[in-house]
Amino acid sequence: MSSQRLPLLALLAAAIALPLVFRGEYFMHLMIMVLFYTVLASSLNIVTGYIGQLSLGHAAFFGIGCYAAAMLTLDAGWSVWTAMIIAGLAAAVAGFVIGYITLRLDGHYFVLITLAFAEVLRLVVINWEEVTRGPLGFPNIPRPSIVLGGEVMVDFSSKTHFYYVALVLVVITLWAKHRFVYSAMGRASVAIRENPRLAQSVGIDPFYYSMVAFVLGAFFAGLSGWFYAHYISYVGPDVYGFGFMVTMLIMIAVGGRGTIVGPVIGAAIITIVVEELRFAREIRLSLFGLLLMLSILFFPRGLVSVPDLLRRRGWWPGAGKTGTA
Amino acid sequence: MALLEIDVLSKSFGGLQAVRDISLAVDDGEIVSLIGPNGAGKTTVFNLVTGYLPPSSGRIRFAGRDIVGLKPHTIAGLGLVRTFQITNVFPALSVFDNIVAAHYLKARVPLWKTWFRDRAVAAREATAHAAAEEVMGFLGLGHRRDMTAENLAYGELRLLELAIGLGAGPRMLLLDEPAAGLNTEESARLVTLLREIAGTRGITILIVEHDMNVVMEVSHRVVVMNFGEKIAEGSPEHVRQHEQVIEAYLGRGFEDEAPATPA
Ligand SMILES: Nc1ncnc2c1ncn2[C@@H]1O[C@H](COP(=O)(O)OP(=O)(O)O)[C@@H](O)[C@H]1O
Ligand SMILES: [Mg+2]
Repeated sequence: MSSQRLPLLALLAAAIALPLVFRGEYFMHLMIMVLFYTVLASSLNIVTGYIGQLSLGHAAFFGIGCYAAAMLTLDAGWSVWTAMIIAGLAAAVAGFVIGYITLRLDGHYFVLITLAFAEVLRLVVINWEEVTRGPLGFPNIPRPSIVLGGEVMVDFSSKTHFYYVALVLVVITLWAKHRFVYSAMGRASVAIRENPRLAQSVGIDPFYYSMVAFVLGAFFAGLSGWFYAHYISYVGPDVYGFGFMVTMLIMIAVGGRGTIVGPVIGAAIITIVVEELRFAREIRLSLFGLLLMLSILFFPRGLVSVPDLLRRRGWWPGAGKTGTA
Repeated sequence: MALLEIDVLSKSFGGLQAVRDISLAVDDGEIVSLIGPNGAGKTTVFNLVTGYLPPSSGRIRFAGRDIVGLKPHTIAGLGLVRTFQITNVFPALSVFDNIVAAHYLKARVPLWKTWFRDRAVAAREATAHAAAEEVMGFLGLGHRRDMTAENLAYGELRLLELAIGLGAGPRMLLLDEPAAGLNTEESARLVTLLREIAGTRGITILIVEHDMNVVMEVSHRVVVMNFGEKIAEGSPEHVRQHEQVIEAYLGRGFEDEAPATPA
C-alpha cells in the first residue's frame, strides 16, 4: 500500500537539490508554480478524490486565503507568518460553515451550491469596496521575511526563498494527506466515495467524514492562497473565478484523483503545458480542453495509472496491480 | 428477552402500505427467516429496522434499546448490521481493502490521532487488519485477496458482502437474499456458513430468502409476509404445511419439491 512512499522521498530529495543545479529565474518561477498548484490541487483532491464530492466552490477557499493574507498584512499590519495561520484557519472555518449546509444535500445540489458560494464571494469582493477594494484588489502585498535577533536573515528577494517555502508547504500538505489516506479515516472516506449506503451499514457516518475532508481541503486551499498572495504580490477578485477551479480540477483528473501522487503529477504537467501554450493565446483554452479529453479518454484513472496499464500489457516489470490506493 | 423486538410496525409510501402492523421478535442466537412473495415488504422491514427509512408507526427495540430515529451508522454501531438485496460492495477496492474498510468500528480513533499516532492507534490498526484476515479466511476469499471487487465472480461477490457485514462486528445480521443467484453448490456452502456464523460466532440472524432449501435448512423459525402483513409464523415444518402460505407464496412448485408432505 505504501509503495507510493519511496518515489515520493526520492522526489523530495531531488526537489531540495533542484535550485542548487538550475538557477534560471524563469525556471524557478515555473517550479514555484508547480509546487503552489500541488498544494492547491491536493487540497481539492481530499474532497473530490477521497470523499467523492465534486466541490466546484473550492476556489472560494483559495480566495479566502488570498484575501486574508492581503488584508491582514496590508490593512492590519500583521506579520506575514501570522497571516499564514489565519489564512488557513479562515478558509477552514468557511469550509466548516459551507460544508455543514451543503454536505447533507444530494450530490447535484452540493455541486450547484458550492459553485454558487464561490460566485457570491466573488461578487461580494467586487462590490464591497471599502473592505475589499473592489475590482482593483490589493497590489504590493509584502514579501515574507525571516528575522532573527533583529537581523533580517532571509529577505525573500530571490525566487529560491519562495521555492523553499512552497516546498515546505507541499511537504506538510502531502504528509498530512498521507496520514489521512492510510488511516481508518481515509479508509472511511474512500468507503463513502465508493458506496455511501454500504459505508453507513458498517458504522461509518458519511456526514462526519465529509465534513472532516471538506474542512481539511479548505484549510490547505487557504494556505495555498496565502502563498499565492505573497508570491505574486497582487490579489484581485479573479482568485474566486472559474479559472483556478478549472485548473485544479484538470490537474487532479489528468494526474489521477484519489491518489497522493496524482495531483503532484497533474500540477507539474498542467503548469508547464499552460506556460508553454502561452504563445497560442486565444486557442490556448481549446488546446487545454483537447488535452484534457485525450488524457481522460486514454487514462481515465489519470497518469498515475500508466505503469499499471503498461504492466497489464507486460510492457513494464512486475505483476499487474489490481487495487487502488 | 428478545434481542430484536418489532412492535406493530407500519410503513406507507404515499397510498401504498408496504408494511402493515408487523410484530416480530428474534431471540439471541436464533436464525429466523422472513419469506414472502416479491413486493411483500421484506426489504422495507430491513430498511425500517436499520434506520434507512423512518417508520410510519410502530416501535423497534434492539438489545432493549429503542432504535427508531437513529441513523443507520449508529444502529450499525450498536451491533445491528444489514446487507443489501442488490449486490453492494466497494467496487474499486481490492477484496482485502473492502474487508478492512468494513472493520471501521474496530479501527476508528479520535480525529487528531490520524496525524499524531500513538501505540494505541497502531494496536487498533493491527487488530482491524488481523480481524479482516480472519474474516477473509473464514469465507474462503483468501485467494482473491488483491483482486478488485468489481472483477469478482458473482458468487464471490455475495461472499464478500457477507464478509463486509461480519466486518462491522455485528451481534445481529440482517441478510437480504444472500442466496439469490447462487448455484446449488454455492447455496449449500452458504448454509454451512450461516450455521457457523450463528453457532460458532454467536451472531443472531434474520434472513430474507427465496431459496426454500436454504430457508428450511437454516431456520429455527420462519415468518411469512404477504402484502405487507404477517400471515404465518412458526417452525419450518409448520410453515411448510400452512394452507395460506402455500396458496400465497409457495405454490404448486414448492409442494412438488417438498419431501412427502402429509395430504
Ligand atoms: N423507497 C420506496 N418508495 C416507494 N415505494 C417503495 C419503496 N421501497 C419499497 N417500495 C414498495 O413497497 C413494496 C414492498 O417492497 P419491498 O419491501 O422491496 O418488497 P420485498 O423485499 O418483499 O420484495 C413494493 O410495492 C415496493 O414497490
Ligand atoms: Mg426485497
